[in-house]
Amino acid sequence: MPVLRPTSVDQLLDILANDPSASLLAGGTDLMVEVNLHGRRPATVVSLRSLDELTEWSHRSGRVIHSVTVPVVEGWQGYAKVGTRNAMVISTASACLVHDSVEGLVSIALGAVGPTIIRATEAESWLARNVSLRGSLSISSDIATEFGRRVAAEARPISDHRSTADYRRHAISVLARRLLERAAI
Amino acid sequence: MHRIRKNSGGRTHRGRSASWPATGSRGVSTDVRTAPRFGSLGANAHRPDGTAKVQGGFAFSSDMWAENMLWGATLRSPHPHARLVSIDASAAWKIPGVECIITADDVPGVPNYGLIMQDQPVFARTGDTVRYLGEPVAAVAADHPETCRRAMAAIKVTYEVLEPVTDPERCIDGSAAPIHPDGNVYRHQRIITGDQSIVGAIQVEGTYEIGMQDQAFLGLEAALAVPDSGATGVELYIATQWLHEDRKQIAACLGLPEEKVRLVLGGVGGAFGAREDISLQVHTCLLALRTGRPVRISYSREESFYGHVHRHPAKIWMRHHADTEGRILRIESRMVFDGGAYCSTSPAVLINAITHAQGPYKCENATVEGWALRTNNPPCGAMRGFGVVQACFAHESQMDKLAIATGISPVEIRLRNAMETGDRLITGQIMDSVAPVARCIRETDAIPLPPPLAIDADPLLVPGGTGLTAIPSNIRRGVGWGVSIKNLMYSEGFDDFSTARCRIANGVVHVKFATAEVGQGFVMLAQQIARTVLGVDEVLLDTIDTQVGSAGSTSASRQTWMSGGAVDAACRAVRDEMLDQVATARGLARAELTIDGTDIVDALTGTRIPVSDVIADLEIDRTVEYHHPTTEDLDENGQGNCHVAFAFVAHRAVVDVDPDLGLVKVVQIATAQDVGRVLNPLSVQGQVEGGIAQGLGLAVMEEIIVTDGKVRNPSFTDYLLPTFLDAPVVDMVLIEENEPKSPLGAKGVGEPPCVSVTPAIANAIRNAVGRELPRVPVRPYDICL
Repeated sequence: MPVLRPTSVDQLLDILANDPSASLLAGGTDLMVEVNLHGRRPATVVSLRSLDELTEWSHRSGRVIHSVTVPVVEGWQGYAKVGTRNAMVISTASACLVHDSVEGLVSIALGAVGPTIIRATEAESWLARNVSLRGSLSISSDIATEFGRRVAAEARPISDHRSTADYRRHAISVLARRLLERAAI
Repeated sequence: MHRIRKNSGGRTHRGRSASWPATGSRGVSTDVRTAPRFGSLGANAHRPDGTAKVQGGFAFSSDMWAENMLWGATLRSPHPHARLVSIDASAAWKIPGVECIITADDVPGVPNYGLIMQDQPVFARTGDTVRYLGEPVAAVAADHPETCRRAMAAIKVTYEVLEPVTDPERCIDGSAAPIHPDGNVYRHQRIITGDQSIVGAIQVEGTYEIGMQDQAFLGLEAALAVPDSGATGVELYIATQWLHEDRKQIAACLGLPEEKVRLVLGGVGGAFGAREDISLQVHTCLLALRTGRPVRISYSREESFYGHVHRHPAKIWMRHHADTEGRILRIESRMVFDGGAYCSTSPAVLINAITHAQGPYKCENATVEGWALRTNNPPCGAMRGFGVVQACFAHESQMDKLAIATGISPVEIRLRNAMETGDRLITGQIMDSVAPVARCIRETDAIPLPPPLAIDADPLLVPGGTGLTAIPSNIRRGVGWGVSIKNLMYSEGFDDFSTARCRIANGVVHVKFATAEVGQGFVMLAQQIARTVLGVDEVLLDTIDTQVGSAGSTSASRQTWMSGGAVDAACRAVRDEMLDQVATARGLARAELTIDGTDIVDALTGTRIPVSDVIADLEIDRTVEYHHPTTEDLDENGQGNCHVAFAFVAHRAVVDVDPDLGLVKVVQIATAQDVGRVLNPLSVQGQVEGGIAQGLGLAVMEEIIVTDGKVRNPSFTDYLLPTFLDAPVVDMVLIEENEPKSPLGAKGVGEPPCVSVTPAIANAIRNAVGRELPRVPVRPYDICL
């Protein structure tokens, strides 16, 4: 099994063009678990350790995304994660809420309640129609509860060995309500 | 990290664990006027294996290695129930580096093993069935673990999949066909005593469920087998709880006389009951004998979940009859224990459960029926608490219902019914152990409650922890109680004796025993005993192996009593001989000689002779067996003196609960434990805190989830153990009332801490949220949906 160590992004792109199935190794938190526990045997491994240009990366069909720019937003931001243990646990539901007090937007993203991260855009729109979101937030208990209910309606949770769909949906409603209330404090 | 304060009465020890974040004083304070001699009984002696374990230098079984060693691996059934049609290993044999492949046909001795019934095959046989997911089908030895993996992938096994029997009730009503020639009932036992017609003015009942807990020891199963030259015998280095029982079963399966199978204890990283049964022992020995080379097998974490037995999941119905003053008049119970595919210790676990149905309370009338059953679920057997954990969850849930129904406080209802020495148990046995039940409750009640959750509390200490799901105003606090009785040693006529050898040679004291050191610290206690009895500072421990008589199992809270008793007796025999010889050689009156500290003292003259001066010229060698008093089988009505002795403990849990999300943080466990006599305060404190952590795990997170006979979470990603952030502050009182029956006055302390802490936490959650919560682990959705 060859291990390649490109020293530039150009070299890396050449390698991926020649061998799209090559596995990228940067820390090994996913790849080495696959190798050690699930018997995965990659044909080629590309080590990114010598590649100073990359700090974060994502590999999709021969292209490398090496950076993402996120605007600085004024307003409260927060994340909360539900797990059955108080630390070091895979989430059964999570939510991240961002209040952009300049643009007058509240965004909420949900984790572990769908095949990927989900934005609850309909609940966001409902909130924008019913509450003034510019400047500091003022949220009534009824609004927060209804927001939570609407966010939960957009979740697409499943039942598995970690939790049930009903609990995950319920937890999302609680997290969304609490995060919105915290944004308004 | 810990503070232990010995109070002026000398009858109790008090201690407090480190909280998180660390608060309070640190370090150990002892009263120098009463402090025992360094390293002797009663002192915080240092463990001989402690430094190496903390620094990472201790060799656990999975670290073992031998010249020319092969690696072994086990091929397992992917089905919980299937007919094994055929095994074709021809392609695997052709892989370079593969040295040996064995199946059921290669087992030269008896094909089955088992602690109580020999019903479990070394390998599943072609034409027969596999009965649980993970049952061994074949084993491989090769030059590298990767070669083993490839070889196992190349073995073609054909199965005819069968419907698994997963509901134990179907084994009672007979609707499930037998899945084993021995049938689907491991044991069915009743306890009928007293007036069966009594009906209480107050009645409370419930049906309680306990999930399947894993022992989750950190040191995974591992063994190294080294064949004798000519492969006529084998030496096995093994992490186990009972060397001699292992040897008996291994030798039978290998078709060898026991003297041809020598076992040496490998470094053991925890046990908790999961190392009582045979797992990889026979496979490793067979591969070594077949290849003539040393073979090591080490399980992965996932394989470990399939490789050892678990705590029995159970369903328990219970009804208490009481008068209006809350006094228990009669209990009724029906207990169903799912033993899984093979027997292991299921019958003994069941007997423990039904005989402890009354809890630590007076009860003259009882109707109890228990079943231990065979299903295609994972095999279950011994785990810390051994059946009493399940019974205690039921009776302590009932006690809180009784408190509510009578309007009496949870503390008072337990005090009114507290058992005492001399009481007659529901088995007819008279309680002849020290039984300070009321004192355990009162001492626990006297421990201060923690302050309320502060409005500006550290967010990590609020339920949800690092998930930052709640603020203090979201939280409700609850307080709950659990009190328990736990038997010590083996029961029902079993003579689980222990052997120890003490000798003086070349001026050095040696102690030898086969007691499995699994982390409990017996290696330290044995040295403390020898130092105290013989008046020496240095005590050498011989290798722990089968070159001395059996010590019995490191389980049932028995080794301090049993092996401690054996070491004590062996050392006393040597001391007596030493004093005889000193008296003769120096013309002293033998009856006047005693040992004080490190000196022999002549009471007539006050002459002091250092023991170290005397032993340089002595050669003394004594081996002693210690046996506990005999016990009896239960009769058809569950009557008989079946247990040796008992220990008691009370727990009070304070929990914070997020009622909207169902998340829990256990804030404090207050406990007072009946320990007989404290032989090493730090060691007892470790057992108390560890047991509480394990009981907390069962209360709120630890469960092997099994669906259709398949384990869904065989990893530490999904089988959740408490982290340090989940561990509560533990405030403890150790109650010392010398147990006259015990050779050292001490009771076993290993199991009681994890028995009643589980219902105490469940009762505290119930107290906080007002729900019945009849099942543990309590899941978030049980609380909030």
